[in-house]
Amino acid sequence: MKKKEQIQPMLRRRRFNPTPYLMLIPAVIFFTTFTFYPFAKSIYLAFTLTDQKGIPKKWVGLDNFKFLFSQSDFWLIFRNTFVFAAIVGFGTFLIAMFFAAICSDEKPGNRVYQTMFAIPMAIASAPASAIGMFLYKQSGLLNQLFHTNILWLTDGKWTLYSVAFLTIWLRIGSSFIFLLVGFRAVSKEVLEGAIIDGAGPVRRFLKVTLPLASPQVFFVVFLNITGSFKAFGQIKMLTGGGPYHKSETLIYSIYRTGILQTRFYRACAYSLVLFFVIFIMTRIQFFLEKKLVFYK
Amino acid sequence: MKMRRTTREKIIGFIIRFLIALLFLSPFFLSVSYSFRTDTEIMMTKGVTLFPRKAVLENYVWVFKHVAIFTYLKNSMLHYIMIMGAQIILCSMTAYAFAMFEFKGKKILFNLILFSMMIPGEVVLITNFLQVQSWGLANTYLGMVITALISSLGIFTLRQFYMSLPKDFKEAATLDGCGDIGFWLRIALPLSVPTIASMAIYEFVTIYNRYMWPLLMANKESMYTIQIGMDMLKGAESDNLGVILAGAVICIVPVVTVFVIGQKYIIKGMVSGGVKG
Repeated sequence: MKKKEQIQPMLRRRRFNPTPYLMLIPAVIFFTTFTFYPFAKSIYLAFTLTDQKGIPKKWVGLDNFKFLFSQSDFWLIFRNTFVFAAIVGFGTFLIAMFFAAICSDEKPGNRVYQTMFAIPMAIASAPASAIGMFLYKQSGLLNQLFHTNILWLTDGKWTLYSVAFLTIWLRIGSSFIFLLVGFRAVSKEVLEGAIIDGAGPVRRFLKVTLPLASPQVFFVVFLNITGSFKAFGQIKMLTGGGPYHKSETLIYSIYRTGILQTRFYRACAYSLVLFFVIFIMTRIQFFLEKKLVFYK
Repeated sequence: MKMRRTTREKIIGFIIRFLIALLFLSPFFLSVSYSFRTDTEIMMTKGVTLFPRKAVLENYVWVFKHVAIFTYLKNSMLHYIMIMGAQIILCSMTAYAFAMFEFKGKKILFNLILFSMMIPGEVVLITNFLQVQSWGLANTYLGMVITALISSLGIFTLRQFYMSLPKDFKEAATLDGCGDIGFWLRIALPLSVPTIASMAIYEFVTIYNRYMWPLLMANKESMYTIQIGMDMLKGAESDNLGVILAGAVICIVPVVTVFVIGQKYIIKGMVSGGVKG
């Protein structure tokens, strides 16, 4: 009550200005219509059975989830999602780290190969999948190069990894840039100090540069993990999730059950699973960031 | 002390790095090279060769003849213009309201936008699809862009810029009889043109490369964007690798050109938006 009394004279003194509210109307409508309402609806539909048009016909409680969790396919897809995330997350980081490390000292002419390392980030999943076909086909580049006869896109032993490697290639560019910025921000004095102490380039990188750039390192690993959960085009175009769901991740399951099979209720259940996976990952990221990242 | 490097070492270093970069991009360069080869040459080649024995344009000719590639490119451009136009107006409007005013409920409304970022578009894909389809917007330009008309990143970037404007500007403008909206349209918005321009370059890559939503929305060939058209190329002439690669090259060239020319702005936008979050 007391607070209100204090505020009110202030409000009275200043004339009420409707401008900010009017300016925010479009944004509020937009986020309500295309984020919050559909999210609530996804939760609702996940507990129902829907018809071909996505209209809920029957409330079934937890049945959709019970069904999913009892299917071995679901657990395969769930596992794939994490295997894929781990390969893409750490694989992208390691290669991007190597590229950023060899580019971190600023020298004339650097711009050229810097641009080259960054370019794949501008390539979309559709043309990348065409390149992927060229690499992975039975008569494709990889088999020709290594004189092998591996069915990269149809043998269940390989499909998930084939898609993951293409995804790494696409994601290295942005990770490279973030790491480069981090490595370059490391102060020259600290590095020179390490040289005087007799640390070689590798030691210097591992013991000085990497810890000092740990915020970027962290950011990049998690950026790629959460990004991998959203990798869709290359899975659809290269393997279609196959064979037998062996290269299918949650995002593809949403597409398969929702769009291809028009089982919208199941697609919504998958959507919620994906939401929780991403949500928990971001929580872990914040938690670990506080604990582990070295801030000066 | 061997701290000084000789010029020769520098050149060798540059060449080694350049070769690593070349190797890294080799899938792309080889795709370009193979897109200029005839079908028979691709089939007959054993191993991998860097250059075609005889460079031909027949794959490109095929693509231009049999696929409505210009329609796809036109659709992609329209897509970009519509989304970017809406984002410039809506993001700057929202950002301006948050940066320049103190009002009741500001914190709640701002948190609303922060919360929206926790729900990825992929999670609401299905329900958005059902909703937009039920409005009869499947196979329309509006339907294809409607879920992307505002970006939270754009709001934050512009808000940051508006907050950096000196308070004196606003006061002087108010004294001269310039209202809130007038200040936004005549002073704040024009001043933010460099920020908006770098946003527009960055977003070109994102919007041009949009795949999943347009895939759900466009079922007619006349509505395909270049990304969806690419996908269909694979189905059209199933196993002709040269044609597929030619399509990929046509699809990649515009966006990589924009990226290389505008990389300074793209990187700036990425770094300022990214690491802090």
